[in-house]
Amino acid sequence: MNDASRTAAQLRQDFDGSFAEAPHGEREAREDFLAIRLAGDAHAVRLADVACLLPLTSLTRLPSPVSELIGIIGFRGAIVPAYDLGALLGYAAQDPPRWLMIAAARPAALAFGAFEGHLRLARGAGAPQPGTEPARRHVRDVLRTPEGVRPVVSIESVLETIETIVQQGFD
Amino acid sequence: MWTFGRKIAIGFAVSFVLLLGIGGVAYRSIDALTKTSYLVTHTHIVLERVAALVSQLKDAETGQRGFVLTGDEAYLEPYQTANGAIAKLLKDLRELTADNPSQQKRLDAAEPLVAAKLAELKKTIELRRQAGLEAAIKFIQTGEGKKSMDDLRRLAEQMELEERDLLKQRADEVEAAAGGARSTIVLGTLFCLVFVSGAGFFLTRSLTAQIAAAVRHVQLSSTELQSAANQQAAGARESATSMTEITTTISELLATSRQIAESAQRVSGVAEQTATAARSGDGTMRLANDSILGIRQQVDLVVNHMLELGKKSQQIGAVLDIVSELAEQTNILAINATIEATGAGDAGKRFGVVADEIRKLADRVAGSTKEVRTLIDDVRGAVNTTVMATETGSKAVDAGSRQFGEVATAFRQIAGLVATTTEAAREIELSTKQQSTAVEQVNLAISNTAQATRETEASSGQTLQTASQLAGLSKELLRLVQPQGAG
Repeated sequence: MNDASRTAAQLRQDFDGSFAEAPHGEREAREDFLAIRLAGDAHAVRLADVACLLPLTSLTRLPSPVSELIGIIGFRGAIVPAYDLGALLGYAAQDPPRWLMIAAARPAALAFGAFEGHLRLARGAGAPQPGTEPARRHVRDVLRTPEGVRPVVSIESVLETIETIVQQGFD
Repeated sequence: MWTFGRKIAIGFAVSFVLLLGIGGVAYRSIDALTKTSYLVTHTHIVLERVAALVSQLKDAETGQRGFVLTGDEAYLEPYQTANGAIAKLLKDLRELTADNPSQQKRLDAAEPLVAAKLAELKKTIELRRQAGLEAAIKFIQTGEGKKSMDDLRRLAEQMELEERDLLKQRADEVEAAAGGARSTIVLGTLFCLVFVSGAGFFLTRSLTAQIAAAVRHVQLSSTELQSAANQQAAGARESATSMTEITTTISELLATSRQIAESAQRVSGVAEQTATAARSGDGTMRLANDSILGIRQQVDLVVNHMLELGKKSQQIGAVLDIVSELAEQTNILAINATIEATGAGDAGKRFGVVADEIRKLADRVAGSTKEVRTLIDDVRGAVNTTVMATETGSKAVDAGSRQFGEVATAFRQIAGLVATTTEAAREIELSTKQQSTAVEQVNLAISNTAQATRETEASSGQTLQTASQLAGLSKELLRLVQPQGAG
């Protein structure tokens, strides 16, 4: 039996066994994160702050005094403004973003470069890491994962910044 | 300019002519003297014959007187002897004086007188015998006999006188001839002496100058010859040395030629073996070429299969892209389902669990897809590598096939060249043997030449010695002909 066959058997066993196990949420408290990359830097976003994750396939660009506003998209029958999350965090212009996340708090889409996966960590895995520089301005804590430390971007803080920028831009 | 020989010849010729003249004069004088001497002798003979005739007549008369007086026959012996001799004497006188007419006349006169005297004597004797003494005396007393005798004596005296005159005349002629001869000899000798002395002086002077010039020339020439002989000897020595070196070199060349001949023979044998091997190699190459063509066809098949495998891998990759896309979309949907389940509160927990399982499954599918993609990429890379390697192999096989063809052609060319080489090696062998023979001949010729050079060297030495001797001889000769100029 080769490795692939063993893997398939393991998958089958895990899949079959999953029906017998208790749900994770009942066993222990866990928190979900989205692992993303902004200008090559690894970041994380709390899944609870996100309403939807979708690939950036169609974007209608608009002329705007707000440079972080890259356009608008149609989402579930509504027009949602899309902002460049990297620009909001102070990164210089990079390659065109390929992913969008819809903020859960208000209808706003945040575009980012790369989606690396879903992380489910024990609640409280994030450690406080406040910062003042632009890249750290919206980071409230960090995640310690086997691959390394990953700053957690506060969507709420980003939305506040967007609101401020928008008001300043239209004033 | 007169030559040395001409001068001497003319000097000797003039001297010879003078001597010949003197000799001729002397010969003529001697001849005249001889003839005169003969004539004197002749005259003496005539005188003797005349005296003998008178004497015989006297003897006959004496015998007649004795017989007449004695009557003894013994006294007639002188008469009888004279009677026989007188006729012969008359005959001799006639012959001896045949060139003298006066004497012939006297003989003509004397012969009757002699006959008369002899007849008187005979008659007296007959009278004595027949008539006795008296008759005989009586007849004698007639004086007939005396008269005849006296006439005969007178004739004899005349003949003798004439002969004496002839003797005197011939003595004068002898004296004159001898005087002329003496004068001629003395004057001629003196003239010859003067001429020979003058000619000798002039010849000596002229010849000395000429000989001295010639001797100087010979001396100069001998010096040049000495120098030339020295150079020739030096050149001959160098030639001899060179010839020795050439002989050594030729010997080495001969040995080398023999070695080359042996090597050419071995090369010929090796070339024949090579030709056989090349023909065998050509056949082997044909078989190998056929094998390579088979390999090439198999490689083409492998390439086609690998290209097909590559296409399938690409198709698998495309399908895997779909699976990957589906896994990603499933993952996104699972995440969004998780979000929705979370938003649904407690009612969504169970849905959240399912969504989480779906997300995990999608993650695993994505992971497996990555692994499959990695494997597919590996397969495609291996296929590409294999195709490239196979194409490279195909090209290598093509190149090998071409090279085998070229090698086969080269083998055929090698076979041809080896045949040519074999022929050339045989020709080289033959040529080298001929060359060895020629070199042996050259060696022999060089040896002969070396011998000739050594002989030339020896000859040059002899020439040098001869030139030195000639120089010394010319110097000595010059000293002989010009003592003052032979410094």
